[in-house]
Amino acid sequence: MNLKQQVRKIEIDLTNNIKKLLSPTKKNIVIFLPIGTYYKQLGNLPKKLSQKHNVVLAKMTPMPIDFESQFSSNISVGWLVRTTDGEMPIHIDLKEIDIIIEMDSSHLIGIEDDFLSKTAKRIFMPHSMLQAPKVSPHDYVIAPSKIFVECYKRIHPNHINQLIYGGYPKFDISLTPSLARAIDRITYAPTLRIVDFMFASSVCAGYDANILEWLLNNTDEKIAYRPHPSAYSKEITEMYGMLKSRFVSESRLIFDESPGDRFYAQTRILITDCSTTAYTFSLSTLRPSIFFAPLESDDIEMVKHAHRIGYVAKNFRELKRILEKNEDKSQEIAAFREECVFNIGRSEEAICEAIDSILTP
Amino acid sequence: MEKKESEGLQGIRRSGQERDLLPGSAKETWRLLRFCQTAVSFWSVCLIWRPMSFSEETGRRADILYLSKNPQNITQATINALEDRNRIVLIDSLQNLQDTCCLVTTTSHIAYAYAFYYQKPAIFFMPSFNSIDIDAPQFIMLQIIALFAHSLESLKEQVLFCMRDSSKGEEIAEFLGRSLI
Repeated sequence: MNLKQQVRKIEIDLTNNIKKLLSPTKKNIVIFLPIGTYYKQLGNLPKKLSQKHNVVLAKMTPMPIDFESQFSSNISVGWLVRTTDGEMPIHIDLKEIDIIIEMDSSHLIGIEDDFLSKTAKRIFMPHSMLQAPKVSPHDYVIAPSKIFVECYKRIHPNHINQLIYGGYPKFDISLTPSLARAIDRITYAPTLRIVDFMFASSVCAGYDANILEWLLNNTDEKIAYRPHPSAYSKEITEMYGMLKSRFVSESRLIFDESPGDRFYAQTRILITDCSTTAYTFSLSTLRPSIFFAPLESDDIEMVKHAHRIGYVAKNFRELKRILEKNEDKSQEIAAFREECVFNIGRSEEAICEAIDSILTP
Repeated sequence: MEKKESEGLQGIRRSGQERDLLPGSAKETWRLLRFCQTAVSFWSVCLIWRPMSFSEETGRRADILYLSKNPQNITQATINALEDRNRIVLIDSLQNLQDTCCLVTTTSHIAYAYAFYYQKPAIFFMPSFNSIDIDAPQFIMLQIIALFAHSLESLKEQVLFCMRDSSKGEEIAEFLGRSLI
């Protein structure tokens, strides 16, 4: 069987298998999750949608059972066949699918815009509260915040897709009181570093190592290194391993790999370069974040609004001053939260209502 | 001497095109790191300490000569972030650095040019490693010219050592005085 024949067989099998999961009576919503990293941003949305509709998870990586249990059913899918003869994308077109909700990683890894269905309405769900994507081929885009909307309109001045002022389910979940834990640490949470060769791994690990060394030498608190969720499974594993080895004997340093937002409760202040995590942390806990040495840019929303949730430290001296000052910024952060984020505490309901109105025009 | 230096160091002048020569994955890393000016500065930095103004008695510190292959805006942003930025002098080649005491780099081969030409040590700053093993014969050059620093603290110690002690330079000079066979 040649490559073309193999792909054709997979397309037929996969189409039949997905069809078995689609409902003839209910509206069919597929949540397509090609990369498992950002599933937390859905919050409990699949569960809420499943109360009324048939909601299928199309995944490419194994997902936690408690997440999968929110769906009516789930299926593993692929989008590309690669053999020694070459590679070929898989084409599937299911007219029975009414809506496909996609996360922002699908187009980044090269998946075609009409994968799974050419007729389904497509909804894009960003993982950043503030930063709009540069590419957005979807019919609808869920906007978490006013800043996202402004950014989206600036990047796509002639956009024809509709913005849904929905909010951010992951953020709403972080507002739910969790188990009380002592606030005893400074968390350093840098952005994702995609590095796939030794030198770049060394550069990135070295950069983070310098910051960790400085924090250990200039503070008395516990220091937590919070790697990007992809650190465990993707190309940056080597870089992360280097960092762990460097500090293997440092008892005050914790490599925090706990899932979701558990680390918020214990963190007094969060340090990042320009991660959107700073916003979900500060806007849910009302504790400040510090952006360390970001390159000032009009294009990066996370940096532009940094002062609304904390500080920018250009160097270690400024970082020291901010940490020692230990100011209460809760009122300012709360005011920013009210001003900026859509549907605080009820984003899942708002998104469900918007989806219902798309399904019943 | 002036003429000889520029002839000998032509090949290590900064080139504005060097970023375009990076392999694809390196470019991707560059793109991801561009938000973090400090990280970018680690990409291809050579820092060279000029100890002329250093004095333990007065507490004055050395100037830092900064040879960067980064784009100009990134380099300038890095310098602007430093409080004592007046001590940082941008240079675009290794010429006329006889009065410097050492070179600091991440992993650049420019260290060889500097060390053998000026007979001064090169410090390889590798904070992502706990140690480096250079006992193997292929690293004999490194054994002669290099010092290693694996933390900010040890970098400071190595730079101060180079300011105060010329023994590493003498070792390089002694090596250059030997014959191949």
